Amino acid sequence: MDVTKAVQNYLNKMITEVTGMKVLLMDAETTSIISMVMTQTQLLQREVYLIDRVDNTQREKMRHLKCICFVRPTGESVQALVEELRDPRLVLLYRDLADFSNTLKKSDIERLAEVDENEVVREIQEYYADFLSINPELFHLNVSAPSHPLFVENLSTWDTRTFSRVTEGILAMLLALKKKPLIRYEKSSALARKLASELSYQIQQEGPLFDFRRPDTAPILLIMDRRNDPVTPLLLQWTYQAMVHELIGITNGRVDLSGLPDVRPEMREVVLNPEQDSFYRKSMYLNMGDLGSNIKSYVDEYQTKHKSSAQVESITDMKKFVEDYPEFRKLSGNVTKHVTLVGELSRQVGRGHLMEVGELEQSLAVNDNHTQDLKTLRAMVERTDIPEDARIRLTLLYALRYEKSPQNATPQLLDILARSGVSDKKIALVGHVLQYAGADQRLGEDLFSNNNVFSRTKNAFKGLQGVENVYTQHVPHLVETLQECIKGKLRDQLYPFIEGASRDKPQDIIVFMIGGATYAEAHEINKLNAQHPAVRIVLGGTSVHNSQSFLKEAAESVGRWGGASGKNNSNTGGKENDPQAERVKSNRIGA
Amino acid sequence: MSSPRLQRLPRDAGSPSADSPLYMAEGLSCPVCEEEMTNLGQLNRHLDDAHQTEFDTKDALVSWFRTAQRKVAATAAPLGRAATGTITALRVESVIGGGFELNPGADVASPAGAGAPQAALVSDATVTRAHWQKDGANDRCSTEGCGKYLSIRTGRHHCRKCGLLHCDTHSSYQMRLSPSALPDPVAGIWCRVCQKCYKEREGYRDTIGVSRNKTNVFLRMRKNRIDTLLLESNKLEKRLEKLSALYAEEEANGQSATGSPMLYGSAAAKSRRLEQSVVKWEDDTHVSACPLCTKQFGAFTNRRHHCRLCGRVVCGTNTCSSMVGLLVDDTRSNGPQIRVCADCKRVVTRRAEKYHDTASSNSIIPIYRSLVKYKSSVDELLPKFNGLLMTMSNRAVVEYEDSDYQLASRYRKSLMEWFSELDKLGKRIKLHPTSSKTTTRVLNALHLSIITYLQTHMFTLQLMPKVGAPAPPPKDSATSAFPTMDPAQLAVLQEQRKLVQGFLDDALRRRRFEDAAALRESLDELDREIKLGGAPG
Ligand SMILES: [Zn+2]
Ligand SMILES: [Zn+2]
Ligand SMILES: [Zn+2]
Ligand SMILES: [Zn+2]
Ligand SMILES: [Zn+2]
Repeated sequence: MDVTKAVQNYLNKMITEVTGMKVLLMDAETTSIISMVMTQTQLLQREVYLIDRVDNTQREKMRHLKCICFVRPTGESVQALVEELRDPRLVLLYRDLADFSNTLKKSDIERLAEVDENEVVREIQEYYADFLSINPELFHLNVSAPSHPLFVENLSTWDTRTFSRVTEGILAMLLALKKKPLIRYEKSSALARKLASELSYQIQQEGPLFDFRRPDTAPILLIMDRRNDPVTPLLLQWTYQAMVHELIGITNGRVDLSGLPDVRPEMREVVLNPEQDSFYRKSMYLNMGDLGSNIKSYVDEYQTKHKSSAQVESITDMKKFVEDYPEFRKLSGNVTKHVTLVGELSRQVGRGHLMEVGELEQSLAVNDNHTQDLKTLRAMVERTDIPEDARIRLTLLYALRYEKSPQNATPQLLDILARSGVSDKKIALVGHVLQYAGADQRLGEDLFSNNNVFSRTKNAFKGLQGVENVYTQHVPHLVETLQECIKGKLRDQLYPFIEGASRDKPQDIIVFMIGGATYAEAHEINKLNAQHPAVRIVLGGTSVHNSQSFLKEAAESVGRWGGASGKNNSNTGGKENDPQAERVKSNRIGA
Repeated sequence: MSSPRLQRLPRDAGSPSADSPLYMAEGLSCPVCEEEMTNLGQLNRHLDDAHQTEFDTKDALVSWFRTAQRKVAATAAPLGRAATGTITALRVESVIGGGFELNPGADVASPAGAGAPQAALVSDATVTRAHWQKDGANDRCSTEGCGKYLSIRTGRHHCRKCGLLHCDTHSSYQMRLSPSALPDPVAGIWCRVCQKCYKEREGYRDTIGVSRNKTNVFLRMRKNRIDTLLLESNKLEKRLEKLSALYAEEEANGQSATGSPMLYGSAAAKSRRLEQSVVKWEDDTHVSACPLCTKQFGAFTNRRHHCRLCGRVVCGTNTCSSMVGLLVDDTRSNGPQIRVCADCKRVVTRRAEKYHDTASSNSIIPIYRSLVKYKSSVDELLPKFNGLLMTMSNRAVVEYEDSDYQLASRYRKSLMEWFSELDKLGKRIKLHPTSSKTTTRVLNALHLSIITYLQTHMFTLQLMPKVGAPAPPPKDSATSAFPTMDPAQLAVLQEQRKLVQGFLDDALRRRRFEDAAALRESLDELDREIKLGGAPG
């Protein structure tokens, strides 16, 4: 179960079945999908000499190129393709291989057949690469507010368009991985139940498409709702990938560094892809400390190579150097990239006193220590040397943690925030998130206690594992659920099956998080996979959140049904400080 | 291993009968003092009371608990269930990912706890053990890269599928097997198997997703479309032929009448009559707007026109209708023409245009063809050349007369030739004239692909051994080892120099100054060597 490989294999199949000079036509979404798994150089090696948008009407006649068209079967893309086939003054393709991610309606095939009077189409295939793979164990659907709001009217009704996009994405992922799962869902979430039953229905409808080799035990698709764990996306993370996303922002595998002081021109935008960058692959889950020493040895390695080349003493050395050169140059670019990134992370951590923030965050999340935590928090929320966003997050954690507590001092904290100059818009976020994912929204959790989302500590094992790192005490809700699931002991009352049932210990599990997964959770999945070699787990989400994008989605969501007050705050994600949102540039392939 | 208490763990756990039901019938005993216990709850209390402080090593706990768990599973299943919750050791298991437990036999269990009795009914004892590895005194885990000596601590299990012995870690997997120990996902019984058997089962590593071919549906639909199109075009072509025949006839007849302006009006009426005899014209009054562009017709501004092939009313805009020469082999510019709507025109000219377009080739194609030719030549020869280099690198001295050396030199010469051809192609591509943005992008991509190809494939050319000199050359060679160089070696150096110069330029352009510094030093070094070796005389 490797989502990256699945997409790569689709793409390879698509482009290697056609020999000769090729052009690859895609729409906006398939462009992002492909750019996650293949670079321009790799495409060039496979003789793809032109990558273009299917709806580009400026393209000249290119009959000598064979064309592969990979689009989602949306109205716009089919229309663009129809135009392409119809108009002989524009491109008429010598060979057209229309590949559709996800299933193609019969009426659409008819429309294409109708216009293909020049008989240029050779083949039409459905390839189910309809999701963005980030890591082999992590995918998402790039679906989030405002372009794809999850809700209409209230927090238990799906937005129709988003709903069908999510359904299509998950079905495609199941087909790409060849899984016909038993579906379980978080009972407290109306969205999860709706999605589960729709998926179950669609799988039955598609019948033969889902007719795979029978596994020993059925894979499990577990549908969860972000709103049952609003804590995880609010906590500062200390592993490389999660930190970059939290503090700088990763969009479609790219990191925008143009806002950094004194950034080199070639470092304005860098690619972070575990497929193409072995250092990143090895260190994406390392915490700050280990990362520091790793990057040091990486630099040393670079300098060793560097030195040896500087001290060319004999022709043999020289040959060796010349031989190593391409690798060497790649290494040097990569060294610069990671040094820049890690430098920026530690700069932000230092400047914003984020270690202190992180410590308090963890304490709020896992300890029941109201008096002491409130005292520390009061002092911290008024400190202007700590970023506003961090102070909002701390207040939010407190507000969620002690929402139903008689000692709840959230209003006072909001007052302090206001007095220290934090804008009303930002302060309103606290209210939005409580509306979005407060105790009343987490209905199912009452089966335990309100504290469930919190207090997921590794305390129980402390004695055995040695002193815990204070910055990583909190364990996402998802982990406990999965641990139960792996043992075959996940409770039916909390996670019912939509159809069928099994007491077996699952061997393949796909978790899908409505409302967005996080890199912290991806890291946990990676650990779980390592701990349980007999189980394979893949994590998916409507999107991959950092705290900024999560807050933004929460605000957008309550804004959509909470009336005007919500609408005002719909952009409170903090445009000026939001590193990730609004920066979705026109998608390009490769570096 | 360091704990002396381990010595007192039950000895029999390692014996061949460890997995047999007999073993499980034995009672519980404390792993520390071996005192007999009646049930797990009692043992739990005993551990807390008597040995709490002694349990400092995780290993002791874990290995003991594994043994206990197996016993409990068989002898005190219901009790075990209740009691395990209170035992801290169980959590230890979950932390390190141990605690192997087979799935209940029934696939879909009825709600709540029907699993346990089922498990007893469908035992893996019905799966053949004939192929099991014989137990010995010094058995090791069969998993590649493990090879641990099997003991109580490591665990000792036969993989039910391959029959080999494995440690706990490498046998904590389960599969459904048939009585003949073959995979059987439908009716098989859950059995303990090894890592290799688990991960190499069919389909486990399959990463090729499903795809669905819609080509046939499409082609069927398109055939229908093309068939009607052909019928349509046949019909229209017939009309066209008929019209041209009529016009030709008219022209022949009217030869005498031409030149008389008086007759012009009647000629127009005549040709209209003629045209309407081929296809009936649509009634003007019924049509208020052009069916193609939906523009409203007016008395003077947007006049109605009839298509002479289908007879319908269209407007005169040249995207809606246009004049088409009637006589195919007519070379005159003022020959008879008829008005044809855009739809009819497309149908009639479809075949001609298709032919025309496939015939027109593009100037990039020849470039691409040579690119493919040289690349495939290189791809074929380069591995052979590299092979020869490998062979020669194992020898202390390579003589000029050496047949491998001779062959390698020949290969090298051809490769050099092809590389330089590729290089030339790259330059040609850069200079290729084009006004099209799209073509420019394609050309740039071709150019980039050539550069990348050269960068990744040319390096081994530099690795020809020096003839007559021991390889590798001594470090102090700068002055002594290259008193004179044969021309081939000098050429190698000069090529290298060119290459490094290229890298240097590139590094400077990219502002990689630390690279550039290193490269410049290399360049100086090369210059010195070239001077030394290549100095005439
Ligand atoms: Zn004892
Ligand atoms: Zn085996
Ligand atoms: Zn082993
Ligand atoms: Zn017509
Ligand atoms: Zn018109």
